[in-house]
Amino acid sequence: MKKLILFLSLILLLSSCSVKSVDDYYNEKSSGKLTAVISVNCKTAVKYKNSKRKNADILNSYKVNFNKGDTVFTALKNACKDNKIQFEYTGSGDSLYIEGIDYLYEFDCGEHSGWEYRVNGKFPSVGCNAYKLNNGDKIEWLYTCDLGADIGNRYKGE
Amino acid sequence: MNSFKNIHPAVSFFCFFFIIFIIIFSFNPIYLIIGYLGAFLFSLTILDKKAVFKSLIFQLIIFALITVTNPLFSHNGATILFFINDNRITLEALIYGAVLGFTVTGVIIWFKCFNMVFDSERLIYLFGKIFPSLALVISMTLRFIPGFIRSFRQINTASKINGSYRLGMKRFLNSFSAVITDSMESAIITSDSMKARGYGLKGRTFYHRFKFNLRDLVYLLIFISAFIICVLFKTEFEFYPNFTLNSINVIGIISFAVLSFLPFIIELKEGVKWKYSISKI
Repeated sequence: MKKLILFLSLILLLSSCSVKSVDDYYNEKSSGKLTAVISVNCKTAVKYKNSKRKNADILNSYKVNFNKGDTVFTALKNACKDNKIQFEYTGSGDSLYIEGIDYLYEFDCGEHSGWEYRVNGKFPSVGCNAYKLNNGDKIEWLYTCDLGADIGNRYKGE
Repeated sequence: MNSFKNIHPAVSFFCFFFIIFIIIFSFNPIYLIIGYLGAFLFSLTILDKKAVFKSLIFQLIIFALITVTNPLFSHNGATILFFINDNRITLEALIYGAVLGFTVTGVIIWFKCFNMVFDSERLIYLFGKIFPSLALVISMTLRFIPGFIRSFRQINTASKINGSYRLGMKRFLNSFSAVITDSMESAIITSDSMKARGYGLKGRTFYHRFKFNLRDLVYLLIFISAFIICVLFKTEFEFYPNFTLNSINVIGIISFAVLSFLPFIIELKEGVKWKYSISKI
C-alpha cells in the first residue's frame, strides 16, 4: 500500500512535467491577439567596473504577442522564447521574481544589482506577474547596479 | 600499525584542517578529485575495506542526489539539454551540481578519516587546556552515536527476549525512549564523575604520551607551506554561462596533491617497513 501511494504520487509528479527537446521548445512560436513592444537593456552592467559584458541591448523594441489578461512576465517569457534568450525566475503568482536575463543575474554587479521593469515609462511597484498588460504597452526591462537609482527609480525605503 | 596516529596530534589536526578547509572553500573540480582520491586511499589503509565500500555506496547516493537536484533548481548555463515546464536543464548546472556533490562527499570521507585518527584522548589533549568544556562535549558527542546504536541494539534484543509482543514501530519507540533515558542518565553520571575528579580546574595537568619531535616539525612545515602555496596559486573556474578554465596553476595543484596524499604515503611507508622487518625475522 505504501509503495503504491509512492508510485502513484511519482507518476502524478512526472505527468505534471512536460519535457521538450531544445528544437521542439524553440520551434513553437508564441501566439496571442494583442501585441506589446518589449526591450531588455543592461547598459549599467556594461559600464560596471571589470564587466565582461559588451552588448547592452539584449532585446531592442521587439514586438511580442500576448493574450488578454497576460502579465509582463508572460510577455518576457514569450519574447525570450522567440529570441532564444536565457532567463530564470523564482516563485510563482504575484510574487514571481526575475533572477536573471541572458546570463546576467541579480548581484552580478554588486549587492544592489538586479532587474527592474517599467511600462510606458513608469515603474509599477508590483511584481511582474501581477501587472496586467494592455494592447500596445511599451515594456522595458532595465538592469540596475544601485537599487534603481541609476535607471531613474531611486529606492525610497519603507 | 597506525603510523599517521603516531604523528603529534597538533600536526595531524592541522593536516586535516587544511585539507577540509580547501575542499570546502575551493569549489574546484581538480582539487576535489585529488582530495577525494587521497582520502579514499588513506581510508583504505586505516579503515577496513568493507566499511569503506559501504560508505562509498552511501556517498554515491548523496552525490547522485545533489547532482540531479541542482539543474532542477538552477537554470543558468548555455548548453541546453532539454526543457522541463519551460525551464532549461543545462549541462553547466549539472556540472555545478556534481562539483557540489563532490564537495560534500569529500568532506564526509575526510571526516571519516579524521574520526579514525582522532580519538577522544587526542581531542582532549589538544583542546582540553584551552576549552575544557568544549573539548569534553566534542569527545562525548563523537562517542555518543556509536554508543547510542550499541545500547539500542542491546535494549531492543532484551525486550524481544523478554517476550515483548508489541510489533514493529511500537517496540521501536519503547526501546528508543529507554535508550534516551539511559543516555541522559549516563551523561549525568559522566559529568558528575568528571567534576569529582577536578576536570577543568586550574593547575590540573593531563597525562599524555605525545611528544613533539623533529619529524613532527618537518611534517608541520610541509603541511603549512603546501597550504599557503595552494591558497596563493589558485586554479580558477567559471561555471556560468559556459564552463571555462580561467587560470590553471600547476604549482598549486601539485602542492594540494602533496597535502592530501601525504597521510596515505606516511601510512604506506610504515606498512612497507613493517612487512620488510617481518620478512627479515
